[in-house]
Amino acid sequence: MGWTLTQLTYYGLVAFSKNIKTVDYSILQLLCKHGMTPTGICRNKQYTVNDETVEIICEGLPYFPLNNRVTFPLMVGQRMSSFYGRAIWKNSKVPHIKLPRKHHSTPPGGWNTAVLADPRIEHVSVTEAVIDGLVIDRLGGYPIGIIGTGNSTTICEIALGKKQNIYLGYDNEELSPAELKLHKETGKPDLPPGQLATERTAKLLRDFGYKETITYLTHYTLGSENPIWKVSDGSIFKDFGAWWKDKGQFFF
Amino acid sequence: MSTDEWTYRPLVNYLNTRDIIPRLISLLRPYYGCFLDKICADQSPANQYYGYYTLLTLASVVLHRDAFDVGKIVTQEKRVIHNHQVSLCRVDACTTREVNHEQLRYVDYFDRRSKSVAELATYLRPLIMDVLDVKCSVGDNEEPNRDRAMPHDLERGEWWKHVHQIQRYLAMIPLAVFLQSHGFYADQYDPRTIWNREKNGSLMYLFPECAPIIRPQAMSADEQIEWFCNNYVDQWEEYHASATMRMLANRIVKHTLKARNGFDVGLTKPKVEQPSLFADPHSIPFGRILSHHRDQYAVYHDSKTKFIESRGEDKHGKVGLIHLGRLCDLIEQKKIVVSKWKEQGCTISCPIHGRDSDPSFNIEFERNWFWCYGCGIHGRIDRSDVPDTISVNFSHTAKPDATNIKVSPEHHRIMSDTQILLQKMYLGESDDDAMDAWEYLATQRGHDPYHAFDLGAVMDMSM
Repeated sequence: MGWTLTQLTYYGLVAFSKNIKTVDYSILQLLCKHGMTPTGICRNKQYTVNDETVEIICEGLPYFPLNNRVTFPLMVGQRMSSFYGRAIWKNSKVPHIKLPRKHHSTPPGGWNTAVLADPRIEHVSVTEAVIDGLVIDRLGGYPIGIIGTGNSTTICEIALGKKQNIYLGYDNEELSPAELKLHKETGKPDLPPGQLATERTAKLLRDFGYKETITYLTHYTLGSENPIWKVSDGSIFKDFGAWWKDKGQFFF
Repeated sequence: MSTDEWTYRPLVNYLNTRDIIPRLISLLRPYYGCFLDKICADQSPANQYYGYYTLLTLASVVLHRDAFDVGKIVTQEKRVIHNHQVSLCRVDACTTREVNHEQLRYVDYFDRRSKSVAELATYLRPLIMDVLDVKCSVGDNEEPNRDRAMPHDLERGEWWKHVHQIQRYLAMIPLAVFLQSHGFYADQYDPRTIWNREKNGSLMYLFPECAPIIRPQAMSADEQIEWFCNNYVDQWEEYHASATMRMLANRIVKHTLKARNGFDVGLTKPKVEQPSLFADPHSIPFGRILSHHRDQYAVYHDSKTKFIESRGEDKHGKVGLIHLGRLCDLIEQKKIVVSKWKEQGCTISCPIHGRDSDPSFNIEFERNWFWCYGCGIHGRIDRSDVPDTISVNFSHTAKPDATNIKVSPEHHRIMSDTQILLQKMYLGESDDDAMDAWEYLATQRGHDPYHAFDLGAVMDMSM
């Protein structure tokens, strides 16, 4: 059984844009193979439920939002809810993307959250990117990618599990001069966003009632707990992905 | 068995046992020969279902063709076929169904006057009514879909819209023929005008003009409907006492009496006066308010706990002022139920218009602003009664509850299907785009592509 264009649009697997004008896009060619014409697709489409409750209006031509990206499935609990796409070309304006949620409100969830359901796993590493999580997995850990630092759905899911100890492995990238200026104006500490997110996530987990151990992997500029992940040559550790690319892949 | 298959299988079985579809196809073949061949080519159950749906739609189009503006009919026909192609072409993603637009040529050029309305109605009406009855019974037995925004409902909503439309046409045709035989068709209404009044082409607008043939004397509403059914509807036995015809008769009598007397007689319920803004709670007839709103309504209007005051009106509607301290006290005492917490504010049941089954009173603390989507009241938030040293803690209610976060089975299914499709393409190393992904993971990231694949990494849908 296949899926309708309505369903694909509804769940964000097909999006419409007025800027797409050529027929070079793969999804358009696929739809044309199945009997549609470009003019038939191009016109506005309107889908209604119960005459007035839900209205989906699509303008322009369809395209696949994850085009030219390496994609990873995102899950809420045991069910897949969305996709995360990482651009494979350099200098992309939008390097990270999730499926659009224009027509439904289901949260995107996190990557590899299925490890929470395994009682044999004692430690779970939380990273803000999937690429970092791949490194953790290669090192022998069990990663969860929460895709950004504000995914409270996944954090809440972790807290409700309350079975595993948690390693927080957010990035430690340097602040740009503009960000430094902004932090001074707003009164924030001069810390990278990943470090602030580490503090925030730990606090959020405790607020949700999480009582197991929380360990900071990369957080070594704040707090009393020292990070367990250090770089031997004294350089600043930015994130797992960059470290793996530069050094780690040659050791493991 | 999938949900869709479970839905359409009884209909397909019924149609096959009754031998309805071959007769329908034989009747429609002069009009849609090319298109019917394409529909009948694939005999899988899913395609049969959508094919039969198309047949019914086309039959309804043929049925009401002569009674309306032909130009509009053709436009409507094109729209129906266009929309339906979306369903037809996706019935099975593995089966490429080449539905082209040749049938539109048939629609434009076929002989519209080959059969009269009455003749076609005689042939097709019982067949289609049988099918509609079965579909209705199947639809009623369906498991209720709680998520109203599901695409399955989208399609079912479209289907039901067509069902009601076809039923209206079928109910209308005998009456139209009857009126035409009495000379009312040409003189008393113009179908183009009627069609333009509503895009869906509802024939309800026909009946006010038909009303002069009904000459009811002083009767009650029920007597008028009964009189109408006895005199006019009785000759069509299959429609007698059906809900649809009773509704139509009701409409006719209503318009007749309104045209004659200048006002509605007996068929319209008197309007219930709404409680005025900031009314005294003791003067509000609580019998008209839902019971679970009664306590909240009392809280809103108690002088000790009243947190909102009237400040007149402006061009956007009513204006009020909220005292934040009292509101926070009520929330902490759980006398007010907060339906939704957001980052900047919350949503509660409106204290003004009261009967909020879907709360629409939005408060934004950071913007010092509130408004109600229901009654339009809006205004500022007064923080003077909140000391600066006291911070209001909403955390006990603001926690997101992961147990309430649910992904629907269909959502999971479509995502997992996509993942499987993408996995197949990722492993197809001959594809250039898949090679780009491999190259990115291997050279730019230093990962083993097979290892990444085990953790769900796949390439985009490039074909």
